[in-house]
Amino acid sequence: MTESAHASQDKAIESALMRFRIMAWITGIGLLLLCLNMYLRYVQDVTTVLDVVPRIHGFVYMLYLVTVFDLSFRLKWPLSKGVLVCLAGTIPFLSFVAEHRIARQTRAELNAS
Amino acid sequence: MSGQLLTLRWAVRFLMLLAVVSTCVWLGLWQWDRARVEIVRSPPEGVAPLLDVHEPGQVVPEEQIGRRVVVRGSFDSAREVTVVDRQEAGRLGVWVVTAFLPSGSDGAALPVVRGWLPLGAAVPAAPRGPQQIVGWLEPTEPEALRLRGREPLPSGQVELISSAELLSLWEPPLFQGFVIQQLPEPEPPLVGIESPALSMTAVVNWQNAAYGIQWWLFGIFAIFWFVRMIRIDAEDQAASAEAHNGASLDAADSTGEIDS
Repeated sequence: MTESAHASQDKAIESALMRFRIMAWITGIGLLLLCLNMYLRYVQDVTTVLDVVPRIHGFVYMLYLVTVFDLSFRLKWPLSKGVLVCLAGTIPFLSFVAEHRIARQTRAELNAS
Repeated sequence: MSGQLLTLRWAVRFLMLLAVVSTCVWLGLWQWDRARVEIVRSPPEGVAPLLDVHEPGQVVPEEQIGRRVVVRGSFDSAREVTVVDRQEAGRLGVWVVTAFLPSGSDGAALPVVRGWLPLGAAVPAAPRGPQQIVGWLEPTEPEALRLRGREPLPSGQVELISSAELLSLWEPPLFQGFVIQQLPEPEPPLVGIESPALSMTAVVNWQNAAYGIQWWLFGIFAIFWFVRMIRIDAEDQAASAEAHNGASLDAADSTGEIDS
């Protein structure tokens, strides 16, 4: 493979990583809002503007899955890794940890190649 | 990798896919069920005297919902409401509901839907004197159908024929159910109301409907992922076969990996 083809592939991975990181953050924050909403709704029994969160969070999570899917094929992850990163998006705070680790690993791989 | 091991691996993956997809479909159906109300009615044939099937202060028995009933008595035109947001033949209007005092029910009032009126039409006075009415018996309308929330309507208007709401507007005693007048046919401008469908479903909870759709999308996504894995695998195999064929010429290039 030529030098320039390599560079453009690295760039594509960079931007796939960036899309993943953005969605990981949005999903992570959405998940915390979802927990807050459930606390307010079922424990405090009040209705707030946060009641819209459950309706849209599933679709946000879907976008997150798409970015994981994209990145996992570009980096040739094993299936288990892709699935675990997907699941990390459903556990409060874990999505931030996963985002951080995936970003670090991917950077290291890009620098090594 | 040996062919057998490869087949086993794909069999396991396929079972995982089936498990994920069926879980998603099942959860989606469950949410979808929660989002809808299904009304199925199968009243007995024939016209029954009202008091034989429904008494004041009692709930309309489920098997009598939609039953054709006959009732004698007189209208009490002092107690009348219009029910907003009612369609007839695709046109928006109101239902006119007047209290009816059946003979032999000790002054309990039965809400009778006299007919449908187009928006803006003046409500014609209820007929005076003894009447005999044939119509469908309906239970009090469920709160789930209240779409306007708690927004107050002008006096004399209601959104639902709810026995609780009518009790606060009219004096007790009251029948819980109501009758939609079929005969005598309403006189213009009142329009007769089409016979209610024997079964219908309506989405009443959009939040659950959204969850249902989300589950199905997850299922579709899993299938998409699986198909993508098969394609990548096929590409890898092709590349590996090519590398293998080339091995006799160039032994160094037989790693079986495509160059990334």
